[in-house]
Amino acid sequence: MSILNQLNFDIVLLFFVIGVNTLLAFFVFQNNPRSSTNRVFGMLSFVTSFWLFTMYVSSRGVDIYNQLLWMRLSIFFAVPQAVLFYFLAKTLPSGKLEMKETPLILIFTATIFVMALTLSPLVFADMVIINGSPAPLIGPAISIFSITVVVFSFLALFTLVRKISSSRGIARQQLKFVFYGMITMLGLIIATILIPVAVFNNSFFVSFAPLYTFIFLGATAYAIVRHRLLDIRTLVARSVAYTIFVIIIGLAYSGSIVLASQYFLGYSIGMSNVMLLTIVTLIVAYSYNPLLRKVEKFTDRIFYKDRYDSHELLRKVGKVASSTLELEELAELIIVIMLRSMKISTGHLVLVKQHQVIWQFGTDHHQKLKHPIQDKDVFELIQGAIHRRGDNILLVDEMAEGSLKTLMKEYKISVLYPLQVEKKTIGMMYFSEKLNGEIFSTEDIHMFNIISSEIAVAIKNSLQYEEIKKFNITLKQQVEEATRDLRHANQQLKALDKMKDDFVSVASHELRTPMTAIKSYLWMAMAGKGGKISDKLKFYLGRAYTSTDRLIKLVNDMLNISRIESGRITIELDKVDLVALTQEIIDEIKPRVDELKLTIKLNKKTDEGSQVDHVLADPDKIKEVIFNLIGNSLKFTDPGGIIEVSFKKEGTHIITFVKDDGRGIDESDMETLFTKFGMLPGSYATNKKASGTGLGLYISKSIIEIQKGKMGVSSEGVGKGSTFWFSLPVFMPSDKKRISADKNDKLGIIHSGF
Amino acid sequence: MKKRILIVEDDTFLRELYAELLEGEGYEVVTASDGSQGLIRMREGGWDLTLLDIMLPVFDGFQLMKMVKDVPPEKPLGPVVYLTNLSDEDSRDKGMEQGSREYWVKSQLTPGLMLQKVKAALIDYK
Repeated sequence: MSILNQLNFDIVLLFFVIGVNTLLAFFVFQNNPRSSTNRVFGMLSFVTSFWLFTMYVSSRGVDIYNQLLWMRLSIFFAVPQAVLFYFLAKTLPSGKLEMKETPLILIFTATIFVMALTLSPLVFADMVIINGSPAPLIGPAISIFSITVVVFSFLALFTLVRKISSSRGIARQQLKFVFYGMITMLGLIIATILIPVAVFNNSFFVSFAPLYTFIFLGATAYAIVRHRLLDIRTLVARSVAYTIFVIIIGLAYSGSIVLASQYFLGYSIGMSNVMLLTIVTLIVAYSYNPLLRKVEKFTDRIFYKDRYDSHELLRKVGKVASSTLELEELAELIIVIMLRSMKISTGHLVLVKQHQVIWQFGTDHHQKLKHPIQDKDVFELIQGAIHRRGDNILLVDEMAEGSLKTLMKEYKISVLYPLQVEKKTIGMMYFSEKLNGEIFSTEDIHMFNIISSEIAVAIKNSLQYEEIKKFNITLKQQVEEATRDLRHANQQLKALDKMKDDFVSVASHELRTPMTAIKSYLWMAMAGKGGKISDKLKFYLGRAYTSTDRLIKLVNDMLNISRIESGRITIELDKVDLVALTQEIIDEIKPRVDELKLTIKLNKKTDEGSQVDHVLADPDKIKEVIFNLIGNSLKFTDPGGIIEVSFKKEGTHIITFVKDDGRGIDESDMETLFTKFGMLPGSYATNKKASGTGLGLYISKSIIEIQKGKMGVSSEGVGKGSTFWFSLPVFMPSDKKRISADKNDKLGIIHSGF
Repeated sequence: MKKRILIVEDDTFLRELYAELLEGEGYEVVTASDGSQGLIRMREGGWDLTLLDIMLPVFDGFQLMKMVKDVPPEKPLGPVVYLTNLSDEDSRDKGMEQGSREYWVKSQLTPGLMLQKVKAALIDYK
């Protein structure tokens, strides 16, 4: 074997790179066979190993014929290598090959085609000796091969550049290093191998290929070590330690065999035997760990059912999150689900608010655990996780030595991540190591990432629910308190209201007594009881008398309003003959009407000529209303005017109209008319006959409305008279029962005149 | 024989006015200015008409009526009219229950009207 005899730098580098490459391919693929990135990387490393080997052999070929074959093989492997670079770039950093089927098939077919082409004489036709060294004779299809390799290499670089610009954080750092490695390697390969071989037939740099590949591997390795690309950092670390361990064992073993055979057995074993034994031992030692892990995995599958379905886990957590709002129940269910699925021994949940730890909860698979973490440590851990570059997960295996790592070790925390809702930290979750002693995989970390936000939202909802629950209790207490206060206030108000009524009653009585005295003495004077008086004096006394009368009415009206508004007015419904009632009033006020030279007409039949139906009302109250309306008409109608009372049936109501041809009302004033003190401006000042309190219509309307009627006014305008009307329900035979039987005789209800 | 009228009224001006008014018409008028005096007079009995105020010192009009009803005087009391300024229904109904015949609201009466009503009442309750 002439190649193995040439132990120079070239071959050492070649085998070192191929060895590292193959190991890397194996580890990366093993670590996460589901990730496209890991798969493509594995394939790439594998293909690269072949490529390096064939290239090396081709440059050191034994004879021309063999050299042609190796040369063809080397470019045969160069084709998938370029394509795989492109695919690798495509899968970073998500781990998924996001490509449609059609372009995939196209690329695949093209790759196979070009690969087949490289083995034919169309690319390398033959080998010739140029200047004493062998060189390939280029065929016509070399350009197809070159273009394919260059295009895919550039596509790979272009994809990486695009991904770098669109990503941030740790992904960006990883991509950058892969990019640097790739561009350096591809650039060097194209510039020093592809172009010289294809264009100048110069294969001088071919032996440097392993070095170029090593640059790429170095960059990738740096990305791995520094930025946890492909999640094999811990694996690599372990493997290095393991390899050193194996080498030490191997040396100790072979050394001890040699020494033992020489000193104890007295003869020396042949060097070849020692070598053979050592190699076998090393193989056994080296395969011990992977083998053990395989066996463990197998037993785990039986006893733990090690692999979990991430979708299933997410579904379960989601179900729990929507099933309960009770904080403790929620926390326990979520943690237990995670422990069971991911095979972790214990899990804890800590909630914080502002700068206080408000709640801690921990459990293993069976029972609640104590929560040993001190408040200040909780915040140190949360801050440590939040301020970590990239994702917010603290993995004790991957952290550099420091206070944070010491803290995590102290509390036996393997994984820790904060719970955040809308960038607000509400707490953290942490877990101990896995039950089977394995490290947390990319899948696990990915799961923590997804689940943490989901849990955070669920916990937040639950907290709000707890708050609402607490708030409800306080609210209930407050409502009860307020109700008590209100009840007390109500009692006080009732007492006050009674006091007010009593006061109004007493005050009106006390006011009326002296006013009655004034009025009565004035009347005596005017009636000539104290001797004859002059006309002028009589005029003065008359005005004093009218004013006193107005005062008394005002006091009476106020008393009435106080009663209406406090709902203490008593209405005694009865069958009322409106025509008879009106006639009674007209008879009563006839002297006054004559005095004012007015005429009152009463239409005893409705407009349609039928009898006026009786109504259901309180006769005394209705009499007051009619008095009031006719009284108003008297005040505002000039001598010679006519006041007309008529009736009309409309549906179930009888409408009473009191029409005059007096001064009328402007439409804009109609609304104020029925309000309290709703006298029209100047209405009394311009009319000496008019004296009123401004409360009459308000009281009348209130009285009518209490008796289920309506009241209103219409006027053609100022100077054209006005028509006041009110409606009352028609008396029905069924109303009889409602009228109380025990009626006292109503005698001597005396109204003041006008 | 002169008709005898008892006026129980605490307001001096009104009491004197009513007395003057009725005496002027030729009636014999006796006045009382508070509940206790009114009770004494009402216990004498034999009045053709009693004008009884409701709001009075010592005993109010309603109490007086009740006391007189509980222990009737030897001579019949005669018709009683409440003469008051308490014009609300409650007072009026209460007055009716207590056995008075009428309920006159002072502020609504002019002396002339009052005289008419007294004359009418004397004829009605003869």
